[in-house]
Amino acid sequence: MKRRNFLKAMGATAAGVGAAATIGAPSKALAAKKADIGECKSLKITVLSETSWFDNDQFKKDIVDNGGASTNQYDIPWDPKNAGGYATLLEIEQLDGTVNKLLLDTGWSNEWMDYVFDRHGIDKMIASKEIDTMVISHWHLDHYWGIESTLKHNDKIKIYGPETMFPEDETLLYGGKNEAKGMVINKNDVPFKGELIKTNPKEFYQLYPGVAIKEFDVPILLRVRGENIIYVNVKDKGIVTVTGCCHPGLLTLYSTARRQIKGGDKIYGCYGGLHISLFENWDPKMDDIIKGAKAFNPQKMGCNHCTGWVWAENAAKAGLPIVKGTDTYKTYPRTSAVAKDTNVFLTNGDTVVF
Amino acid sequence: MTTTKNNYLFGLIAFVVMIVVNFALWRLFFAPSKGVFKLFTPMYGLSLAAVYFYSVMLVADVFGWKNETGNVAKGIAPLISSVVIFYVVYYVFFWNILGNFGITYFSPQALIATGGTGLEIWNARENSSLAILFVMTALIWVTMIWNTGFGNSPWDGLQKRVIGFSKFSATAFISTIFYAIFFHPNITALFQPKQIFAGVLPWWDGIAMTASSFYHLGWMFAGLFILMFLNDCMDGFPFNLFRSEEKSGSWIGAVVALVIAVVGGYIFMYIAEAIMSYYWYEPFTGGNYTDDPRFRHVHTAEIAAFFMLALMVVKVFFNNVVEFANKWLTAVIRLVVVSGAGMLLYFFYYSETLGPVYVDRVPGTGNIDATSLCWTIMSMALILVYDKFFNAFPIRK
Repeated sequence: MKRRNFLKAMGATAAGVGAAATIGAPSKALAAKKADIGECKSLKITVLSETSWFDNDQFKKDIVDNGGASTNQYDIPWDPKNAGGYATLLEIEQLDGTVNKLLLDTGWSNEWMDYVFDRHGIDKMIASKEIDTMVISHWHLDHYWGIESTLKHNDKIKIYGPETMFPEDETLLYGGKNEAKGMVINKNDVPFKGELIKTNPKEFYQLYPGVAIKEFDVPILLRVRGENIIYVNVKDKGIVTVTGCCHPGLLTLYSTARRQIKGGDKIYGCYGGLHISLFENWDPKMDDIIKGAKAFNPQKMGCNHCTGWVWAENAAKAGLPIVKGTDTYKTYPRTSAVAKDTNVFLTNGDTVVF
Repeated sequence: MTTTKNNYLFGLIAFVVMIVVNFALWRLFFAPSKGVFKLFTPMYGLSLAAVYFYSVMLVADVFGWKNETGNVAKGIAPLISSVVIFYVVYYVFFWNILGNFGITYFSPQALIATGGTGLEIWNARENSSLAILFVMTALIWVTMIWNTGFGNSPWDGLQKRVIGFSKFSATAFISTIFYAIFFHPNITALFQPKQIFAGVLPWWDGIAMTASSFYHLGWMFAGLFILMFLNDCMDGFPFNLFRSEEKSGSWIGAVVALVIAVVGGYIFMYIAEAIMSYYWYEPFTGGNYTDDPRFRHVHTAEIAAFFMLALMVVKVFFNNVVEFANKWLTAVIRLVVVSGAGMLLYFFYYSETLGPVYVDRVPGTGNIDATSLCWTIMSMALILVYDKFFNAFPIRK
């Protein structure tokens, strides 16, 4: 090819690209059939504990000293004094007035979770089977390693957990312990004898009218995989997501609701850890989430745990409807080192109704 | 390259040895869970791999210090030089000189000393590493365009070290401008409060659906693959049209290389992201994992890097596989082979079993923290060392 012809061809190519760019995005993926999860009257959330650990710096140090965010959580000799836990009580009022109680997660430190369960009467609710079902959001230490605190009140409680369990998770569930570098990092003396429903991303698991679990198969830090999300469809209000850590991303949950849940195009709010600024750092991605969240027009956003105070503060400043917490958390024996007076987190002991 | 009958057998043996070396080095330096040093955090490891890749490029392609003999011993000096340059650039220049006396964000320790929001060793090192990665991307991109279009021009005929210093000065200067425009705004938005007096906020936010510079990483890596393919699988066409016996390149050649890198990179990214949208729906601002526009952009770079790695394997170990009288047919077949090999690598890396075991990762797609770029760049750097410093011994004769 001659040089002149080549340069002409280059010009034509550039024009072609310009034209192609105006065509727009290509075909969309086929929408999945929408699931009908029904409706409930209201959802009340009680924050049993959102302080999975008390000292962010110590938690980060444990991770950094042992290889970083992708290392196996079972290979890290975590500082036991720093362990807290994450657990939430959901009270779902049905259209006929009955109330279903559901436990989300079981924390990390048994000592801490025993205190939390006792304070809120969760131990008695589990023992009396007022709470007969627990959802494990994912297999991270701060959501699951406190399993004994639940099982000692009812070892047959029905559990929903992501199918992507690792052998160490099973060891703990069925009455065992795990060690890291010669140190016992977790134990469970009450073997689980109930039904474990391993959730997969292909379906919605309906618990009650208006309440369903959806598993998102995503790789997560500390060698964990998959997270269960609780979708609640509140009559006349819309979809509320309840999350442990929300690793799949809040807006992905909303987008999934729009595509896959009947009536899911109306987003009402969220509660839980949103996994945005776990270590109180910043990144342009966090600006993206604020901007993207506005597009879904949520009415009530309750957040805590791994959301990051810095993100919640900036989101509130940007006009997102962040529900403010109270000072109840100060009545707990321990508090998080990152808690601030801005109260943009729903903290330990707070409640919110959707 | 002169071929012999033994080439493909030697190539196969060398390739197997390279896999063993690759696995050993990955496990030693990077593997995040079962590794020794666990440097893949991910940005720290990724930036280290990128700096080493550039160091090899600098020694071999900028300063022209290549071993073109069958004497393996002659490769040791440039190899050591590349390691020394890597160390000096990363730890002395960025961490201790530039970071301490010029631009804070290049040094984790300097960032920590500011006491800024969230700036402890973990975040500070990741932030510094991201900035260093962006600098290296600009340097590698500009250097490859320069080498493709200009060659050694306008310093043809001068001593190697003169050419080297001149090329390095020119490419480093131009890279600084590209870095400032395409990457620095990301760093502006990386801190609280935003550093708006030191840089503009990401100007591409509206078109890229993200404030992240991963957008530019996508089309730049894609452009690099296209340049590599034209250089290595099409004998440098069309850039060879702008060369002569006296001049190894020209202004027009450089402009053509730049246009092809940009336009070609965008076309590649457009096609790659169209395919992603078909499988994962359209991305949206603030989405996570496969919904995240950042991931789509960086995934374009990841795909391009798989293709580049495949191209290097096919070229270095298997002598580009085919050579027909018709150069267009040769190019098409080579493109098919390289693309196929690239997709094989892609499916290997993202498989549920083999890939995750090999690279020590949790299976799944869409996790930016598990980006494949670190592994592909490390792998390309290794092949570059074998090719440029050891003349692909014993494949070539």
